[in-house]
Amino acid sequence: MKNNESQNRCDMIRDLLPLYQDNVCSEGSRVFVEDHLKSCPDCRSELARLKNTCFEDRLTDETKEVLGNHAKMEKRRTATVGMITAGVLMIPLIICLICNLVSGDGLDWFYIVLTSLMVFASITVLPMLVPRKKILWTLCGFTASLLLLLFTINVYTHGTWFYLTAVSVILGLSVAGLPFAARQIPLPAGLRNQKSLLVMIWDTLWLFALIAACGFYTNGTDYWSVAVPITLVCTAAAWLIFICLRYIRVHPLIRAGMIAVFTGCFTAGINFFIYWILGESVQTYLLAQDWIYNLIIGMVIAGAGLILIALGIWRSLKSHSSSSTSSKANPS
Amino acid sequence: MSLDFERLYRAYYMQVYSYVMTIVKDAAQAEEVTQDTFVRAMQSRSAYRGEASEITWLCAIAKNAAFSILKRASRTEELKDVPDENQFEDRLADEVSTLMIHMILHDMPEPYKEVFQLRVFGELSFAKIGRIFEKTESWARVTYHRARLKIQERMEDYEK
Repeated sequence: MKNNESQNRCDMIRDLLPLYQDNVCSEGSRVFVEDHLKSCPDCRSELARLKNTCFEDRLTDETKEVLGNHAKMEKRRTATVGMITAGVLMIPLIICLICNLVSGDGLDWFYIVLTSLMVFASITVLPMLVPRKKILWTLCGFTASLLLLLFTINVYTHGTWFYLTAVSVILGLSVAGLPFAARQIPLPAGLRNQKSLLVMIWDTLWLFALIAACGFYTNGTDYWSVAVPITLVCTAAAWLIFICLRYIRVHPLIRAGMIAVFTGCFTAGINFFIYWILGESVQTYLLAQDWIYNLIIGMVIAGAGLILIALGIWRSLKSHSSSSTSSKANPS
Repeated sequence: MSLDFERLYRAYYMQVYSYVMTIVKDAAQAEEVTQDTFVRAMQSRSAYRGEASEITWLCAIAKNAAFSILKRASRTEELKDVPDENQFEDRLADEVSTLMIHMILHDMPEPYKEVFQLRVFGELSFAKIGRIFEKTESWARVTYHRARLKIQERMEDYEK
């Protein structure tokens, strides 16, 4: 028969036993428990019961099997659909192969059919076959197959426009698709927090590549002196907004206000700038009807932006002072 | 982040499986019903308004699916294939015991039931389990071990 005190001690030991068994208790507790166990058979049997993991092991085995079957079933299902789609695509492919072989000498338009079916497969079969990073694989596959299609058409129609369409395809798909796929791109540790910066740099480079490609393709005389400054100014505006959004750590209202001010000034002034670049006199622009609308809209947006900045400054001052008064009230 | 989500999904899947086992009492059918439940849940997830916890909602779907399978089986009087003798005995012993564990789990009081399931099915760390219940890691560890001891107690009661 245990008296109250030793019963209390056993209760304490029993509370400590899980920590002791998992080896996460303090050194003092460990010594205390081991000391007690030497003389208490009840607690020893309790420890033995704790060590007996046969039910958990059975459940863990069952879990592995059930989840394994589930995963196998999922993989089988998507792989089956992928294979069926691929199989269905082979039918028009083989028909075109035969027709092309029979009609002409050598294969030409067959390759166009082949590459177009590859484009289709890149957005249907490919996502079903890759296990992870589906968005990234689909985007890259779609871009690559589309470029291949354009290249093939260019070759077999004896065109010279491939590089131009290639650059615009890359730019378009990057702008539309990278925000979704960027998270899945493998990056070195230092760059993982700068994904948006990398996407902006990538998009900007390809935009300039497109401007350059257009210049080389059209071979215009005044092209470069007009295209480069306008692109630079517009890109600078986009970068201003991006840096403001991503890197400047102030109240969101202030940020929204700053972006509105940039946008307003841009709206009001960009046409003046473009007319100046194009070499038109200011008179011609002022005679055009639309300058006043741009100016008004731009000023309204910029004005709203200033109001937002003022609101943001007021709000952040208020929360700053209230947090400092509350920290005075609860010194910790 | 994504690893935690995967573990929670696994925990949910096995919790539903455990519940279904208590109804259909057969591993193969339980797997089929659980698979079916999650397909149905994905299809009708817009109808879930969050009135009950996700696990309650999933178990409601599972209950429907389980009873319709039992109805179908009793109507057509399907006979399971009889495997060879030795395999049958081992399988039966294992099946019966895990079935017993699932039935004991089903009747366990909270939070022991949930903590045990999250730990064994989902392999979540005690820290994570503690956070889910807004308690400490030690609380999770102690609760888990108390749950284990309860299961052992009830198993011993059954075997008597």
